[in-house]
Order: sequence, then C-alpha cells, then structure tokens
Amino acid sequence: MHCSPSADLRPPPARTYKWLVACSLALMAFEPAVCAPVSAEPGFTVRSAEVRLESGVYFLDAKIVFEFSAEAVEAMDNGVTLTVLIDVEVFRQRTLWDKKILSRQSRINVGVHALSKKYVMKKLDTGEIHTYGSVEEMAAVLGNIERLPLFEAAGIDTEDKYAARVRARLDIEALPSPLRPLAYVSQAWRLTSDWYELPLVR
Amino acid sequence: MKKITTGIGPILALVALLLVSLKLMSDATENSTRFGELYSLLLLINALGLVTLGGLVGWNLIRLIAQFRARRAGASLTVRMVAMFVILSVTPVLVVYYFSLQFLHRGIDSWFDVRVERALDDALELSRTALESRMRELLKQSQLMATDISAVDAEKLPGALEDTRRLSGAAELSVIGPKGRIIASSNIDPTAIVPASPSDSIMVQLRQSGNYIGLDPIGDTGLHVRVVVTLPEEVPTQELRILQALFPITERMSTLADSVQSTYAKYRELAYLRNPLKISFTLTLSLVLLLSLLAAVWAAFFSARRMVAPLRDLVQGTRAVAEGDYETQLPRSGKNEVGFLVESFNQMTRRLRDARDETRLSQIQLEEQRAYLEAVLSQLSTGVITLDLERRFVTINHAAQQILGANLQSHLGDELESVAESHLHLQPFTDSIAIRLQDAASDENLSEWREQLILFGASGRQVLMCSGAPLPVVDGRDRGYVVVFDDITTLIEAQRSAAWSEVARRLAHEIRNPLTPIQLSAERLRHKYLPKMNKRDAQGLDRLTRTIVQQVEAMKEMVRTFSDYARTPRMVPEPLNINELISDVIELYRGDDAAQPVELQLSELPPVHADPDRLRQILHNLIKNAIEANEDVAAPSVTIETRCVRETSRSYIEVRVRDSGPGFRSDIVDKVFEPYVTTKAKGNGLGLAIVKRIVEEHGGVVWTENHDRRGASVVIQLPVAARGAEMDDTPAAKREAV
Repeated sequence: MHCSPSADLRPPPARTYKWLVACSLALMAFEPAVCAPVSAEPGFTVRSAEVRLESGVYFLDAKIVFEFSAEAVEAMDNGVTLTVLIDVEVFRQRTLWDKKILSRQSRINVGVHALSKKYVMKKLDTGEIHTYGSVEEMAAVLGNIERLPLFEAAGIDTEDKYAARVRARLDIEALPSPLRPLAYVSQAWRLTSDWYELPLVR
Repeated sequence: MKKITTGIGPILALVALLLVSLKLMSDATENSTRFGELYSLLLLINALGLVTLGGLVGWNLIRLIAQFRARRAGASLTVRMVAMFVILSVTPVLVVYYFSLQFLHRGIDSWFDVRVERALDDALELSRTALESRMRELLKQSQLMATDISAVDAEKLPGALEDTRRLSGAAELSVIGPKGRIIASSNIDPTAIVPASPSDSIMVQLRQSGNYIGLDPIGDTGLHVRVVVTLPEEVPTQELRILQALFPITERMSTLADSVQSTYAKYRELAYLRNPLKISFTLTLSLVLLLSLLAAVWAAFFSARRMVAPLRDLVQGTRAVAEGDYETQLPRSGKNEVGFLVESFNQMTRRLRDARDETRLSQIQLEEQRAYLEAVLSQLSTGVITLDLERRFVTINHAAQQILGANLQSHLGDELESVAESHLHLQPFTDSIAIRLQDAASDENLSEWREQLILFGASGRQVLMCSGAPLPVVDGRDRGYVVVFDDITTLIEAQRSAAWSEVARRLAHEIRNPLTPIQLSAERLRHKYLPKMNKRDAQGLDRLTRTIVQQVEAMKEMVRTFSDYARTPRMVPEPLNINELISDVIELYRGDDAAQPVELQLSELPPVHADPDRLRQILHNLIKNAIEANEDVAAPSVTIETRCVRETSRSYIEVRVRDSGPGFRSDIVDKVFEPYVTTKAKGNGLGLAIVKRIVEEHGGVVWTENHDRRGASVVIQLPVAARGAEMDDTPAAKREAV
C-alpha cells in the first residue's frame, strides 16, 4: 500500500476539483515563477504515504519534506507563529465521480522561543509541544508522520474501492492580517505540496 | 441594466456595502480577533466591489464619450459638468490621501523605538544570564548525580533515580541507553509514563562536548532546564548511557522569564510586521480612496445627468418643435428655474399646437368655402374672372373660358396682357379691362364699371356685357378686382328681332292697311268722275289719282321690303364653300351687257357653316351696291377677294367686295349698316342693314373701309366651320337653337 505520486491508479479527487485546477492554471499563467521546477524552490513535498490497518483502525504514515522559505523562517525568527496543515481526504470510488467520505486536517504550529532560542512545534490536535535546535531538525520531525488515525475499518464497505490523498501546506489565513496580502501574492509564502494519492485496500 | 448602471439605489447600496467592508477590513488589519479571520474575504469583497463600481463608472464614461462623439443633445454640457465635479471632488481627496499616508507611515514608525528594542534585548539577555548561572550549577549537580548513579546496579537504578530526583529537586531524571532506549526514569508527575527524550541535536552536542544544557519549554509545565550528561562507566566496554535531568525554573523566575519572552516576541513580531502593516494600512487607505474617487466620479455622472436631463429634453423638444412636432410635452423637473423653463416650454408647445389646430381648421373652412365658391362659379353661366393688384389672373371659372373660347386655366398667375399674346381675339377684351382697371386705380369713382364689348373669336362675333368692381378690402389691403361678363349676343339679336318684327307688324297694321282703301278710293274717284269731267279737269284728276296710286304702290313696296327685312326666316346652315357661291352669283351679273366687270381674287377656303340662300342675298346686295357706287365712274371695277385667316385660337374667312366709286361719305360712314341710311336716289336703305343682320346671324362681323385714292370695301368675316358636333356648339348654332 505504499505508493508514489506517479503510481496513481485513478484521479477521483482531481475530477472533483477540475474547476480548482483550472483556476490554478489561470493563476499560474500570470506568474511564470510557479512553472519553474519544484526542486529549485522551497516548498512542501509528500515523499511517501501509507495507510495501515491496525486493530480495525486505519492509520496514516507519511514522509513529508518541509522546506520553509527564507521569508517563512525569517517570520518565525521574528516571533510569528506559522501553522502547517496536513490534509487527508478519503474517497469512495464510483463510476462517474468519487464521493468524499473523510476529510481530516491536522494543524501544527511552529515558531521560535526567543529566550531558549529553540524552535517550538505544537501539535494542536494533541497539544504536544516539542522543541528543536534548528528549523531542519524541526522540519525532519514534522515530516515524519506516524500512526495518524483516520477512521475505523467498520465504516467502509468491503465491496467498494477507496482512495486517499495527502498534502501539506502553510495556512496563510492563520498568518497575522498584515502578512496575508503579501502572502497571497508572494511565491515564497505559497508553500503547498501536491496531493499525494494512494489507493486504500482493505 | 440601465437601471442598475444609472439608478442611485443600487449604487448607494454598493457604496454602503463597501464602506462597511472597508471598516471591517480596517479592524482586521489591527488584528481584531473578531474580523481577523475574515480579512482575506473582506479584501476580496472590497476588490470585487471596487471593480464593479469601476466598471459602472467606466460604462458611464464610455457612454458619455459615445454621446459626445455622436453630438447628442446635452452631451457636451454633461462632459463639462462631470469634469468639473471630478476635479472638485478628486483634488481634495488626493491631497488628504497623500498626507494621510504620510501620517500613517510616520505613526507606525513612531511605535518603534530603538531604546525600547535595546531594552527588550537587554532584558532577554539578562534573563538568559540569570538562568545560565543557575544552569551551570545544575550541570555540576547533574554531573555529580551521574557519577553516583553510574555505580548503581541496574536493578536498583529506578529507586536510586527516584531518591536522587527528590534530593536534587529535578522534575524528571532518566537514564537512557543507546538508540534512545529508556533504561530507568523518575518523574515528579506519577502519571507521566514516557519521559521527554533528547532530540538528535542534543545527542550530537552531547557526543561533541560530553554534556548538554539548555532551556526547554516543556509542555504546559513551563520552562525547564534540560541537562544531559554521560554516565561515567567503570568498564570501558560497557554500553554508553546518558543521564537526562529536567529541572523546573522557580515560579518567580519562570513568570518573569515568560513575561520577558512574550513581550520580546510580541515586540519582535510587531517590528517584523511593520512594513506589512504599512502596506496593509496603505492598501486599506487606497481602497477607501478608490471607493471615494469612484463614488465621487459616479456621483458626478449621476448629478450631471440629473441636471442636464431637463436641458437635454428641452433641446430635443426644441428640435422637435422646429421640425413641426407641436405634440412634444417634456416631463416636469421640479420647482426650480429649469422646471419653470420646462413648464414654459410645455405651455408654448400647447399654444403652438392650439394655434396650428386653429389654422388647420381655418384652412379647412377656407378650402370648403373655396370649393363651394368654385362649385357655384363653375355652375354659373356668367363668366367670372378675378385679378390681383398686379392684374394677374387669380380665378377663372368655366363659363368665362367657354364664353371667351379659350382655355385660360394655364394662364392662372399670368398677367392680363399676356393672355392676348396667345389669344389674339381676346385683345379687345383685355385692352378694355386694362383701361378700366387703370381708370379705377386713378379715380375711385370709376372703380365700378360696366361696358359692352364685341369680340370676334373662334365662335364668331360675340357681344359681351362686362362689369368690374374691386374686391372687398380685407385688413386694410386691396385684394384685386373681379370682372363679370355675359355673352348677350343671342339676347341682343332676339331683342332686335323682336323690335323689328314689332315695327314690321306696326307698319303693316298702321300703314299698309290704310293704303289699300286709299288706292281703291283714288281708283274709284278716277272711274267715277273722270268720264264726267271736262278734258282739262280730267287730265288733272287723272294725273293726281295716278300719282296717288303710284305712291301707294311705292309705299306698299316699301312696307313689303321692310317686312322682308324684319322677318326672320329660319336659318338652314350647312357646310358651304364661299368661293363656289361667289362664282354662282357672279355668273348672273356677267350675262348683262351693261354690267360692270367683276374681278375675282379667290383663295383656297375651308368650308363655312352657313345658310346658302342668306349668303347669296348678302352677295347680291354687296355686288349690287358696288355696281351702283360705280355708276358715275369712268372705269368702274368691282373686285371680290376671299382669303382664310388662321390665328392661334381662331380661323375665319374674309370676303372683301371692293368698288371704284367715291366711297362712303364721312357723315354716314358710321351708320351705313343702319336701316334707311343711303345716299342713293333710289333704294330703300335696307341693303347694308340686311347684310349686317345676316352676317351677325352667322356669327360674323362686317365693316366698311374707304380707300385712300378711290373706292371703298365692305369686309365680311365669317368663322370657319368646326367639325361635327362642335359646329353646333358655335354661338350661331346656339342662337339658332334658341
């Protein structure tokens, strides 16, 4: 059940969000920088994802690379708390269009503790707080998602086929208001990974 | 669409919505928790609203430019008013905008002070320094604890850790083996199961320097000092173990440190957000400016349109009136000066419309009266002609054309004299009227006149009774003249015929009847007394009675001749060639030895419509007259000349009988055609009178001419016969019918 982004069996969510893709393409037409290779720019990338069934519950394991832009790091260093979102969606595959049966979002605040000069990561779902000496160290921990519970296996029909997708992004709406207009128009703040899609087999 | 783009309601609602949205956005910019989450949405709403408002203004602008280029009424004035309004409203707003931006940026900059920033840095550094001394003590203490613990057996390690933790005041003590394996742990919180394991960076630093010490905010328990040291091992081959100790900061120090930390972080964040904050405020202010500008421009369009609308209506209404549309009524536009103007315009168009309607009604009535008058005039047997002051024909009725024998409708508007140029036979008519009109113009007493005229036209001789009078004066202006005439030829002939018949009857009754008894009495006297009388008396009686009888016979002959003259036998007209008739008559005179030579000069003639017997009588009378006139002449000659004269509107035949005698005496030349006017010893004086009468019965004219050297001529003109029914329409035929 471990699958790469290119190993997409079928793209049900993309079909649902065709209008979103069209809008994105239109926006990209006005900003050539978006079309540049992803690897040359900071950003978030879902390297791998896996859905495991343990004790009747589906868990998500994922490896996500968080490369914060210099502007984002500077904001953190200056006391601005950033919010990182991990979006997980599960679809039941149908003939015409797929039906979303689960949409889960994990919110994680990252910032700097000035007195201790530590990077602080706080998982808002669990309230866990962890400190790290560097952004890279925090990003490495942040990108290592293990045993994120999704839903109980009893809630799905064994006859149907299911698919899931994962992405990580920076929540611009969680930024301080003065930063938002800039964040919306600046590529440095547009930190959103592509959807990583994977089948869900019982 | 027009209601939306030009109506005030939707625009006011949009502006109000944008104002509210801008206020919320401004609050959100100031980090208001209430609207902070809606900041982006508000920004989007405002942008879309402004785009919409801008679109409306642009639409109005495009429309105005199109109207201006099309030179629509009021467009130029609207452009000027909009430009004036925009300049008046935009200029102060731009000034306020500029200074507001200046104050805003300076205001935000004034929030930050280098001294405050340095003080906060110092406070943070001071906190760190204060904590570092404590941290150094805790490091030494941890190293001592590590030494003590390293000697404890594995089974007794948890208990030893618990004791050590209590003695040291640490919140947590953990012994951790390779790969982060927890060997033993003691926590002040008995519910805590998993100790906070050191991160990779701590382990790296531990390997490099042998220990680690640092401040860590641990969960909700606040700031802690994390100390990580390696446990000294007695046996070198034994696996590496580390001791991690978490020491809580004293509550007082923790509170102070948190305060410093949060204040410092807040200040740094604020300082970091200084430029974005400026941009946000500038953005908000710019949106407000744009809203004000667009609203002002739109208001300028709206106001200008409202103000210009009645003027535009007035212009359009005036154009409509100029084009003859008097039905235009403009909508009322308030009780101001423009409204008064509009009301006056409406009043004017109403009056114009009423005046036009009245004029139309008058015209209709006039046309009706004119048609009525024309109908009456066309049915009149009397000719009616009206002339204006310049003697141009205004109206000519049908009877006038029929009497004058010319189509004069084409001469309406022409001058009187011009008619005679194309209709020569009307020359006496037009000359007579012209003279009368001149007299009327010079003498008011002669303005009304009456005259009898004789024309010789296509239908022959006509006697017209004309009367003229000036038309009634209207509004102090003369309008012209009216000429009324009747063809009284038939009437005169009838009167004359009746008169001569009466004379003949009276003559027969009063003279002829007594003549017979006189004659019989004279004859009885002769028979009775002549035998009884002596010779001398008998001769006297015979002479006297013979004289009586002869004179009575002469008187009887005179009465008979007069009766012949007065008698009007019925004419039997037929197409007749005059030349042939003349030749026949001349033959009678050529057989006589004593006859004078008669010369004929006959031209080709069209037939005339005449009674051959009556014309033969005319020719006899004229030839006889000419021969008698030549009695005392040495070389007598009689010439008969015929010719046909063709003019535009008439054709006639002229017969001229010329003698070589002494001519007519001047004292009787005007009366030669009257009965009993003669210069001859013999003759009853009725020859030329009969000629004149017969000629007139045939619609002709006759006159005499004395020649310069010798001789005189009697000239007869007879109309050429028309064809078919038209012949019967001649005045002569009509007179016969009468």
